[in-house]
Amino acid sequence: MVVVSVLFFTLLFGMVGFRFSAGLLILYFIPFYLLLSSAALGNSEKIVFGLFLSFVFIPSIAYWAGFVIPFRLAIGLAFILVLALALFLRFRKQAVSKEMQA
Amino acid sequence: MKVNRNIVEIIVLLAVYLLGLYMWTLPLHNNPYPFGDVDASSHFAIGDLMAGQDKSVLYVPFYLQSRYGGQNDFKEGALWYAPQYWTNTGIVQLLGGDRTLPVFLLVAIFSSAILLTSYFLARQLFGFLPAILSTFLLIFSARDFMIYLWGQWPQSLSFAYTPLVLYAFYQYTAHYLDKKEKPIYLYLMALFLAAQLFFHPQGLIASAAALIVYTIVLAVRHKRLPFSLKQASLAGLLFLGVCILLAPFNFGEFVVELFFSDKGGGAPSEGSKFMRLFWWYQGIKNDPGIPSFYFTYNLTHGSLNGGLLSWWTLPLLLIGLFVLFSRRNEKDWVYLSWLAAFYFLTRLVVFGIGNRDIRMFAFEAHVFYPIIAIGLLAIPSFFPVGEKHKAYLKYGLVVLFLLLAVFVNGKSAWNTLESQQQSVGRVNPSQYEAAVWIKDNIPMESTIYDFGTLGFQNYAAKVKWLNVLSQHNFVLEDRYLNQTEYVLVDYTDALNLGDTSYRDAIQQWESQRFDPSQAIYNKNNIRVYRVVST
Repeated sequence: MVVVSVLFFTLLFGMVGFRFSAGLLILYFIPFYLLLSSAALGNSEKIVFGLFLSFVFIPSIAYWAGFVIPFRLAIGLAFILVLALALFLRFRKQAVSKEMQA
Repeated sequence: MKVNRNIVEIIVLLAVYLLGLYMWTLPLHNNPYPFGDVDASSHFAIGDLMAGQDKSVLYVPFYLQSRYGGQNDFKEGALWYAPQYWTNTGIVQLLGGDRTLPVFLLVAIFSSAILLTSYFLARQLFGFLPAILSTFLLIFSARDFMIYLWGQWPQSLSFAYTPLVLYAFYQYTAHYLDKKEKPIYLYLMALFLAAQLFFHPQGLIASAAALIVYTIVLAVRHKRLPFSLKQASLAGLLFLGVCILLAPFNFGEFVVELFFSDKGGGAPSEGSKFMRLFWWYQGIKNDPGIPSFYFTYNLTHGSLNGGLLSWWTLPLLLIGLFVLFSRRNEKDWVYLSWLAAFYFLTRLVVFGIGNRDIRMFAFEAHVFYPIIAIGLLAIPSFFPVGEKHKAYLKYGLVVLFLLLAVFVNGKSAWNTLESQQQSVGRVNPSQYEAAVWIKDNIPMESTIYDFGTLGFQNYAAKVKWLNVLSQHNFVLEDRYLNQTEYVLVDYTDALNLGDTSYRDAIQQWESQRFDPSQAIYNKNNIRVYRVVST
């Protein structure tokens, strides 16, 4: 699905389309999908909710950080923060379930 | 061979969604230059400035002051909308490595986001077929693609969150009433409502109205509140916290406007307006600023060309409503509540509340189309035939639905969207090049007097686009001519239109004032002169 979407934009809009669609997937979709992967939700819910939450939170973090650091770095920071939170919750959930099993 | 149903559904959804995106991006095929009327350019401006200067923007830039300065009653000079939509456009400018195309690709994705959320809600409540059919029809919704072409982009994205809000609340109440609490849905709903406020408060109001109706219905049916007060309070706090933390000045502006300002207040209800309660469109026709097709069923939900076939969805809508009203289960009530909210919000002026209720018509197709699909798929159940024959009838109707959707709605939508590719209403390459030259070569706070660009007499959309693309203040009225430092004379639209009287008028005006050899920019039938201001 992801590959087809990137291919679609690349075929229609060339390199700009490729950079745009791949960037959108990496910056928006992946961190929030991972973030919600720890939640008690169905897979389709995680995909849709994650995508639509990312449209709010990625720009929010980038916007406010953009007053303190350059905007480009702020975008990177937003990505790293959400990804770090997602990984933290994922590891925490795994640790808790291991404890429960033990 | 056993076919995995989920995979088939995903493939079909992907095909339908990409078809939608292909159509919605038609104006961008072979033309990456901006389009959009009214406020479109302003939705481009802030993200463009952020990406260009590599820092966030808090205040309305000087070149937008005349249009948007002073619109934030909470913090003087602050941005008039929450920054999230515009920050997204700034981000994709950098991701895509181009100033205009990635922004318009994102706008196309955001404006058609309702395809995904509407599918999601309908799929979860009614199954695959009603969901995919209604989503397919939504691709061609004139309500939606016209708003996209006009440029009310944040509003479109805001309305796209309503199905998510309704789904989250439906799931929460269903689990709560079943004594299997899942408060996560309520908290997610609070986040989606905050998103709606950030993108455009109208979406939030639409969702809130639907939630109120649905809550009342559930409370009456179950004779108790369908939610925990504690969890609802927590969700309320989450909503407030996110709004205050992420968009404090715009949340403040929303509160001020809602409770302490008479900006949104409409005139007291007039007698004739009460008739709006009994009619769907009549009485709302011919509103200034919105073409009359917008208030005509067959033109907006059929074909802009009209004709008998353009009414084809109306019987299905009526059947769908009949089905929902006769079944009235809790899933049906989600859509009925949304429809009731639509009805009241498009008639607020009758009650003397606000004066922009016609803008709520923007979400009509989102409510109607799933009901139309439900109506279609209910038809076989009216016939006393065996299951096998019902199945044949159902798939026959689906084929007929697809044919009508493509050849009536689809054809009309395609023609409209494709016609925008080379529309003279768009910024042309020569104008774009001139705007970039002005941005890079003329002192920042200078004003530019525009003569010749299409609509220059009344500060129409193209001049606004030159305004934001050049990041300079554009003025038009003659009284400013003696106060400006630069004059732009633009022949490109007159030449593209092949209108000799238009061209001659510009030539006469220019020859009376300037010598073309003195122009500081002279390229592609656009000249810029430096003049001595008084």
